[in-house]
Amino acid sequence: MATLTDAHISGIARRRRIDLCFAVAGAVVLTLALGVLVALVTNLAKDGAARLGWDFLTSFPSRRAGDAGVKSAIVGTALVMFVTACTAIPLGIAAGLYLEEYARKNWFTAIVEINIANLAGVPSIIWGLMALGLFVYWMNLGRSILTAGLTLGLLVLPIVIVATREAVRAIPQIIREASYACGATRLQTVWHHILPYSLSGIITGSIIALSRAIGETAPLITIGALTYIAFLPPPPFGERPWHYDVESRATFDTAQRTQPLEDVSRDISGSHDSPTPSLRDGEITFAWRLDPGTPITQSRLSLPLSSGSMSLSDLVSAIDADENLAATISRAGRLRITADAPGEDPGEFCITNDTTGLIEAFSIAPGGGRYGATDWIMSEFTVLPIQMFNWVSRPDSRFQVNAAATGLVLLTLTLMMNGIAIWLRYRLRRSISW
Amino acid sequence: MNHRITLLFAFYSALVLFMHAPAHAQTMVRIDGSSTVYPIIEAVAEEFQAKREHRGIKVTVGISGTGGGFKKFVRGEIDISNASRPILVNELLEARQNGIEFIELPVAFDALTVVVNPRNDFVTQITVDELRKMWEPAAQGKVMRWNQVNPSWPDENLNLYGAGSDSGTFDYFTEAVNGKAKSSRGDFTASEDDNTLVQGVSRDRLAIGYFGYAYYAENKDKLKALAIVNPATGKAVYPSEAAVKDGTYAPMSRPAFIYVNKKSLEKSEVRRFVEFLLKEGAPLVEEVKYVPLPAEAYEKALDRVRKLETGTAFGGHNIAGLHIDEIFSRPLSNDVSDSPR
Amino acid sequence: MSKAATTPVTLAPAAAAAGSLRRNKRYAAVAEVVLFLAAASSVLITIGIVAVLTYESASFFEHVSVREFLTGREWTPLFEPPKFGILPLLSGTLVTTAVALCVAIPAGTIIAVWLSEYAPYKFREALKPALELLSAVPTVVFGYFALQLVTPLLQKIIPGLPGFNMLSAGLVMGVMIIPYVASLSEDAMRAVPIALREGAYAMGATRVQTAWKVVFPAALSGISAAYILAVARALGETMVVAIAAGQEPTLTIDPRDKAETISAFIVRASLGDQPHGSIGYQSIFAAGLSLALMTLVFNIAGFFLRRRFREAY
Repeated sequence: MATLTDAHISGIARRRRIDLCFAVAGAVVLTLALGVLVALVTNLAKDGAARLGWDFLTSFPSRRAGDAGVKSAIVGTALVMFVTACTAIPLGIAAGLYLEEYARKNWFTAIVEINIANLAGVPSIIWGLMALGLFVYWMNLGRSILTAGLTLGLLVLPIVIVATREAVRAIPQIIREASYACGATRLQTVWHHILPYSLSGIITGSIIALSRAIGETAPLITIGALTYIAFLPPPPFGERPWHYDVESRATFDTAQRTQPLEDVSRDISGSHDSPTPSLRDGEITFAWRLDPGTPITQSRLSLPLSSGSMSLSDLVSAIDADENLAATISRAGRLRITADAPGEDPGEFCITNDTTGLIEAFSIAPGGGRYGATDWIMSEFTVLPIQMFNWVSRPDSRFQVNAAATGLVLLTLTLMMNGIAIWLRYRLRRSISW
Repeated sequence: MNHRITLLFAFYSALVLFMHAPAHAQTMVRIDGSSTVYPIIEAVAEEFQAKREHRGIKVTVGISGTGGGFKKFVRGEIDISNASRPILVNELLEARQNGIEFIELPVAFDALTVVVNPRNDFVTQITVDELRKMWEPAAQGKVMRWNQVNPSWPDENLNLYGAGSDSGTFDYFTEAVNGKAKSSRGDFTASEDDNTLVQGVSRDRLAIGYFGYAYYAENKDKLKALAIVNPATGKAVYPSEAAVKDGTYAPMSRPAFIYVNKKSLEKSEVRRFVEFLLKEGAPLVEEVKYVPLPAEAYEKALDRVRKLETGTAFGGHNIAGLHIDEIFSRPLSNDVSDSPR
Repeated sequence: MSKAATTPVTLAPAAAAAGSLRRNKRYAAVAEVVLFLAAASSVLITIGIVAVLTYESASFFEHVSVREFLTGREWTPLFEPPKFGILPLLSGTLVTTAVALCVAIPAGTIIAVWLSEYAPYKFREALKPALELLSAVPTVVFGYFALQLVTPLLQKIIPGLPGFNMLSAGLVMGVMIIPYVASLSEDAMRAVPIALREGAYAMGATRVQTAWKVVFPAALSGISAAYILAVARALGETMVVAIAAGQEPTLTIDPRDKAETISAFIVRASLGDQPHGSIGYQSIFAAGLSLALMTLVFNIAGFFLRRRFREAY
C-alpha cells in the first residue's frame, strides 16, 4: 500500500484549489449572465421610466415624442395574441395528444417528430417569409391581425406541442390502465383523465409560447406591419361612427359640373369650415333629379343633429317622415336614402343645388350601424415590438426615450408571463405526486 | 374540470364560426411611400384624425420608400402615395396599364443634406463633381479613401452612408449627382431607415452621408452639414429654408409630392384628407422642418383636386434642381415625354 | 362511467348502454381523426414553408445562375446594376454567429456544469428560471441594448470601432443564447446516472474532475446537441443584427466591421416594398432559402444527437 507523500498532499491541495476556483468561476459567469439581464433592465428603465405613465399607455403614436404613446400597440398586441392563442393552443394540444396517446410507432410518426423538432428551430424570419408568400399573397389575407396572429401561432406551435407531450408523458401509465379497465374508450381516457391531469403543464407551456410570440418582431416586419397606426381596430358589435358621405355614384362629368363638391357639402351642412360629418342643427335641402334634364324635386328637412349624436334610427325616421324621401339601412350598416320621382321607380339618389346638371350621387355612409363581431380581425394593426422598432429608427433622439419605455412595457409583459409560468410549474411540481 | 374544458371547446368552436362572418370595409385612408415625406404626412394625419368631424376616419401611413409606395399605388392598393421625386416612366406605364389615374400634388420643399461627422475638420463644402467621384458605380471597390476624391483631403478611409434603393432620396441623389436614377455604387450602408444613417454618421469620424433636411435638423448636435457648391454660380451654399426658397441651394433642393388616386378621391374621407392637407398643412410642414410652398401654390393644388386634373408635370423623369416657383407652371400630362425637360 | 355503475340493471337500459357504447366508439373514431389531422398539420406547415421558399427561389434562379449566387462577391439586388452574390451576407452571418458562440458556448457550458454539479438544489431551482428569463427578453430589446449601451462601451475599449459592427451584435446575441446552451446541457448532465458520479468520488476525484472527466464526456451527445441548436439559433437571429450590425453587405471576416446578415437583409428589403414577382422580392426568398437550409442541417443533427442522449441511459 502506497503511503501519502508530500507530493500527494500538495497534489490534493492543488486539486482542491482548482475545484474552488471553478466553483467561483461558475458563480461569476452565472452572475455575469444574470448581470446582463439586470443591466438591460436598468438601462431601459434609466432611459424610459420617466416617460412611462398612464398617458403613455393611453395615447396614440404622435409626431411629438412627448405626446406619443402605445395605445394602438397595446390593443394590437392583445388582439394578435388572442388570434395566436386560438391557433397555437388547440392545435398544439391536439397534436401533442395524438403523438403521445394515439400515434403508432411508424414512419409517419417518425416524420412528424423530426418535423416538429425542425419547426421549433426554423428562424423566425423564415416564418415571416412563409406568411408573406402564403397568407398575404396567396390567401390574400392582407397585412391584418389575422395574418399576424396565424403567423405567430404557427411559429410557437412547436412549443405548445412539446409542452403538451412532456406534460402527458409525466402521467403514469397506471392511470391509463385504470381507465381502460373501467371500459373507457381511448377518447374517454384522454378527455377525463389525461387532459385534466396535464392541464397545468399545458397551460405553463402555452404561456411560455405566448410570451415568445409577444416579442417577435422580424416576421411581422416581413409582412409589412411597420406603419403609422393611430386608431384601434373596430370593436365587435361596436357602434360605427357615422358621417355623411358624398359619393360620386354617377359619372363624374366635369362639363356638366357647375359647383365644386365642397359647396355641395356646405349645402348639406350649412357650414363651410366643417362640411361633414356632424350636421349642425337646422334645415337641410335635399334636391335631386334622376337624370340631367328631368325636373328637380326638392325636400327640406329639419334635423335635430346637434353634435352629430343623433342615433341612426332617429335619422331614418326623420327622413322617412318626408313624403319624397325614404331611408333604409343596408346590411352593411350603410344608410341609403332613396327619392321617389313621381311616376318612376325610386332612383339612385342625387343631390344638386343648381338647375343645369348632375353633380353628385349621395349616400350616408359608411358610418352608423354596428361593426360585425369579427371586423377587427381583418384590420390593420401595430404591436409593441414593431412600435419600439419604429421609434428606435427615428433620428430624433427624443423618440429613443419612447422606444425605451415601450421596451420596458414589453419586458414587463414577457417577464410577467414567464414569471407566472415558472410559478405554475413550481406549484405543479409540489402538488402532484403519483 | 370537464365542464370547463367543454365550455372552452364550445367557445372556441363558436369563435372559429364567427371568423367566417363577412367583414365590412372600414372608412380608411391608406397612405404609403417616402420616408422623407413621412414626417409631414404623419403630422397631417395626426391632426386630421384628432378633429371631431373626422371621427371614424382612420389613416394609415406606411414607410416603404418612394419606390415602394409607387409599387403599391400603381396596383391600386393605397389611396395616396408619398414621393420625394416625381413618378417615373415605368411607374407611369404600369399605372396606365392598371387603369389608375392620379393627381400630382407638390406639398413641400426639402433640402437634401450632405452630412459628415462633427469631428471631421477637413471638409466644410463639397462640389457635385466630388460627390460623383464618391458615389458613381465605377467607384465601387476603388474609391475607398478621402484623398482619392480630393487630394487636399487626408489619406483615410471613406465611409459612405446613403439612402436605400426604395427611397426617393436615393433616386433624387443619384439623378442629381450621377445623372441617372438608381445608378450608384453598392458598397455603402444603405438603409430605408434614416436613423441608421444618422447613427452611422454621428458615430464615425470618417463618414459622409445624405438624407432629408429634417433628419439633419433634429440632430444638429451630432452631425455637420456640408455646403454644396452651386454649379451655376460657383458659390457654396448651406442648406436652409431661405436658400431653398431663393433657389440657390441647387441642385439639392427638391419637391416633396403626394400622388392621389383619382378613384380614391371619390371617397369623401380621402378627399377630405387631401383638402385638409392643402388647406391646413403649411404650418405643420414648417413644424416638421420642411419648407412650405407659397400660399398660392397650395391654392393651385386645391384647384387641381377640384378640377380633377390628372397627370404629371414631369413626363416620367426625375428632374434635379427645380425651382420652387416653377413647380406649378409646368403643364400636366398623362403621357411619357421623351426628354426630361 | 359512474352513472353506468349506479343504474339498476334492466333489459331495456342494456340496449341503451349498447347504443351509448356505439356512440362512444364513434366519438372516439372522430376524435382520433381530428387529433391525427392536428398532428399532420405540422407537416403541412413545413410543406407550406418549403413550397413558398422553393417556388419563389425557383423564379429567382431562372434569372441568376446558382454559380453566380454562390460565388459572387457582391450583393446589391436592389441597385442598378443588381449583383447577386450571397457571399457577403454569408460572411456576415457566419462572423456574427462565431462571435456569439465564442460567448455562449464557454459561458453556457460553465454555467451548466456549475448548476448541475456545484449548485445546491435550492439554488439551482431558483437560478435556472432566472436564467431562462434572459432568453425570454424580446430580441428587439436586445437589439436596442446592443446599439445604445454595448456599442458605445466597446467604442471606448476599441478606438475607431464604427457605430455599427458585428462585434457588439454578436456579443449580445451570445448572451442571448447562453440560456439555450446552459439549460439543454444541464439537462443532459443531470441525466447522467448518479452512480457514475459516485464512482468518481469514491476514487477520490474532486468535483471539478468528476464534472469534466466523467459527467461531461458521458453527457457529450446531449451537450453537443445544445451547441448545435445554439448555432442554428444564432444563424437565424434577426433583430439584434438588423439593429446593431449595420446594413451594408460587406465581405469580411473582421468582427469589428459593419456587415449585413442574411436575416438582416430580409428585414431591410421588407422595410421597403418589394412588389410580388419582382427580382427583389424573389431575392428575399432565395436568401431565406439559403438560411433555412443552413439551419435545417444543424437542427436535424441536433435532433438526432438529442435523441441519442435520451436513449443512452
